[in-house]
Amino acid sequence: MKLLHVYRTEPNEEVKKLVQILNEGNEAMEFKLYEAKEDADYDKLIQMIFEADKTISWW
Amino acid sequence: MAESLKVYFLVANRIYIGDCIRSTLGLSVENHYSHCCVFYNKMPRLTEYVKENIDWIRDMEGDVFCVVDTIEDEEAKKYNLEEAGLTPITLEELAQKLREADVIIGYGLPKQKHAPPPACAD
Amino acid sequence: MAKDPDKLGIFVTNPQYMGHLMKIVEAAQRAGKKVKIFFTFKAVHLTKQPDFPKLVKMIPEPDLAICADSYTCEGFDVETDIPGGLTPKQMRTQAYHGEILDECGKYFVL
Repeated sequence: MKLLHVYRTEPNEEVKKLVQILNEGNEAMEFKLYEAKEDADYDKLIQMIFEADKTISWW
Repeated sequence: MAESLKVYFLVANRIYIGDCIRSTLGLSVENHYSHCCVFYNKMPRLTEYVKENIDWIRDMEGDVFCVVDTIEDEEAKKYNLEEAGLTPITLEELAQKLREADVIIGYGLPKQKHAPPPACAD
Repeated sequence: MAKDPDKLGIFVTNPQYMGHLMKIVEAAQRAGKKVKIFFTFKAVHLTKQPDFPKLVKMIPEPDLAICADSYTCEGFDVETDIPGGLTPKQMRTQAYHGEILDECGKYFVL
């Protein structure tokens, strides 16, 4: 399965641990929403969401 | 009839806990297996409304968990488990459940660094 | 109803991301995708942002709603203060979140 992790803020230790376990045996991508600024960043996010089987948006 | 999904709401911010439980119930009544996972914080003061929502979620084959190893304050943990009756779960156990989830929802704002002032501490 | 693979459901739980939301909806539409959005709890405060009526205009009426109970709980009046550009039909319950999961091939939380 292809997972996309979107971080709305910088991930803390608990989020990192959950992400690590969720990613085991899966293909994983990540997107730092807190660094997104240009239209191109959001185009990339949309492309990734539609490419992923599942998107998880962390706090 | 739409497919019943395994849904996990994750709540890190104390102000959002009550509403996260309400939203969890919202999907229980839509026939999903809906779960709420309370991280970091002591539950706000329990109202009849919140207690009923928790019971109803469980009646609908969901649950409300307290992620015990994210809570440092022993008194808060005791309150969540003994007074609020949340189901204890470790971060590792939760991670295994999330691997089976269809939908994972990071609900609301992140954890706050500071304890709530009296104005919103209840 | 089968899920639409070209439709992105967005569950808005956070009151501070109007900028991200506008940009995400614009990007989705540039990519030829549809969106369906539900605002809950404190995110209903986004209805008071200057960009909110613009967002409403970008999306068909059945595909955008706010939680009426949240709106009331935050102190607003669901009858006399329907937010910018919305119709009474767009003041909904948490069941709308269930509709998003049923209808949308992709799902995102803000």
